[in-house]
Amino acid sequence: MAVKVLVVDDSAVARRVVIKTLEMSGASVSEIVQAADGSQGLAAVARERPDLVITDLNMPVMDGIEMLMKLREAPETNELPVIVVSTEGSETRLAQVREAHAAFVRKPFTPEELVRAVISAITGACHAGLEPEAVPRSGPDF
Amino acid sequence: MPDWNPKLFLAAARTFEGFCFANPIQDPDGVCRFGGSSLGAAVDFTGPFGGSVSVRMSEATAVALTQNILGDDVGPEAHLDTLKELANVVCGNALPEIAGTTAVFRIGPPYLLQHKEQLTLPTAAHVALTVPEGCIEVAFAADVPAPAPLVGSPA
Repeated sequence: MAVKVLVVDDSAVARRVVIKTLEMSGASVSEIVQAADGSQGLAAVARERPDLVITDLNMPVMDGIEMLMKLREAPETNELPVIVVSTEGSETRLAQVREAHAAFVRKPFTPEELVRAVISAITGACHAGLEPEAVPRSGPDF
Repeated sequence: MPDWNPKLFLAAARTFEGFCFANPIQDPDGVCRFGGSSLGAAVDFTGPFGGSVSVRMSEATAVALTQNILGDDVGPEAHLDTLKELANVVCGNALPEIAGTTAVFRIGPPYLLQHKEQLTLPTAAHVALTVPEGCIEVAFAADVPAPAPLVGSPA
């Protein structure tokens, strides 16, 4: 089973880096949809029903933490796997991410770091066919 | 040299290594000599102290770094988005280095700077990095002064 991934980031380049990493990883991703802020992200979750959300924290309109909290408040999305990809490294922010049961990957990240987080986030939920072999063993960092 | 320069260089080097596949070396002069006009981007932050981080390079360097990240299939203004994202990532990596990981900052949206436009606040740290694609200036401005280097510590 391949998964649908929603990538939320206000930077088009940052979204493309995440998408390119997933495409190059060989992971079983059936479809990737995009949103530019947390508000758009919530709308995309309702509309697209992704299996996984990869989101930035620092965004206009609605930041990633607020979007994450709203996802956790809703019964239909309170267990949706979420990976936060952000430059923000304060312990307070990381604690917020952990409390919301989301994974965290610091920017800049290596392809291995992101793909491992993807596998870890969704394997338990749906056994989506993302095998460890799909992790690229070399290549540039993003 | 302000004590924050080595920390800023560390954060900037980590960013360019990770995001652009570039292995920067520090320019000893700390200044880039851009042949023509340069492009800059900055982010402002608030928290225990306020400030801004800027990244400046030539347009050719910005385009080359963008192609390193995304390949040749990039839009005409992708390098501007790259520049803004680089300022954002450098800032996010510099603040824990400079202020510690317990300090909580709010980082604003990145914005473009005009040619030679400088940050409003006084510069507390400034480094120039050289990568094969060109020279990059990174500045850290703050509303608090950078601490003086310890006596006997490396510059």
